[in-house]
Amino acid sequence: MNQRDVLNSLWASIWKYFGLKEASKVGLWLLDINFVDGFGIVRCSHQTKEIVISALTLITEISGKNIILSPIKTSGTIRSIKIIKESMSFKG
Amino acid sequence: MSYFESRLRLNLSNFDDIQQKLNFCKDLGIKNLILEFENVVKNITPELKEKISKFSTIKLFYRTTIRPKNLDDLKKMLKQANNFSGITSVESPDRKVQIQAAKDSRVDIVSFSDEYIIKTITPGVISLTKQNNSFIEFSLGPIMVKNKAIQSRFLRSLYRALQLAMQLNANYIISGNFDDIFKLRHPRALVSISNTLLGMPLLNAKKAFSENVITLINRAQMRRDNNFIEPGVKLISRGDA
Repeated sequence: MNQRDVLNSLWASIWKYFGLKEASKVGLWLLDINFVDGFGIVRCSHQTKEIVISALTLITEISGKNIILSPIKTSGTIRSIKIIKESMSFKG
Repeated sequence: MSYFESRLRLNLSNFDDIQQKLNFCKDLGIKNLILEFENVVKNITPELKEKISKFSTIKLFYRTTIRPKNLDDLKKMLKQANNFSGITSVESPDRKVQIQAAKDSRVDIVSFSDEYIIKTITPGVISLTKQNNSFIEFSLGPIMVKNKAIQSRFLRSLYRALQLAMQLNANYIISGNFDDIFKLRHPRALVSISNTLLGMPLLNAKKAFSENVITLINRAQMRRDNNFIEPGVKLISRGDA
């Protein structure tokens, strides 16, 4: 499983549950993913935040493996979410 | 805001499974959990509560669900469940049972969790639960099925029931009620699903996972208080504030 698989699954989930109309508004970017620590950063339009969280939640498997993608924290800027991520990694 | 997973079904005969599920909930960041033991109607002993609380630091609450087949069955089961100190819920596809349960002050929740039960919801039950300050429960568990046809059919039923509940200003909670650990999700993620797929305003969805659940827990605790008569009415001894 790699970054591309995760992004493809996320797009597939958005398409499956919300269709073209919403998918066109999302502006999705997978900025960072760490499979070892289980962290990742997804960037999207603030207006479609709930849609992206729902789509992530509804993913149950990627490449035949059971997966849970659970939102940890949302933030308005990438800078602040990176700070939060670092503080969380520091806490262990 | 603290969110609740209002229904996690556990089997008391398998403590390893209980431990695994609680650890999983902790990893997901769930902080408040209402546990339901399958086939347990009598009271949960303090020893058992202590044993389970050792597994995890999550704040735990308890509930029992009775599934009566008819009215006589409901009366018998409610008598049995009378000693239970947690939340009592009733789940039945029979409308007569639902109405009687909604009238009964010993019942905290009338549950509409399964697809075939959701379809039986009526404005009458909603109105009675409002009068009695009890709650209606919906579950998102069946959303995680792989079969698209079943999934969309369930979403449609749930959408209709939730819209009816919102229209009538009902007291309702939403629970996860997932069987499999890989289907467990954080309540905040379920808030998003309620908002996007079920057309609930975000504030209402958040309330259904937090404030309403707190009110429900308080209701169940107050019911145990002998001095409590009804919301706003309590017997006090002379000199009490």
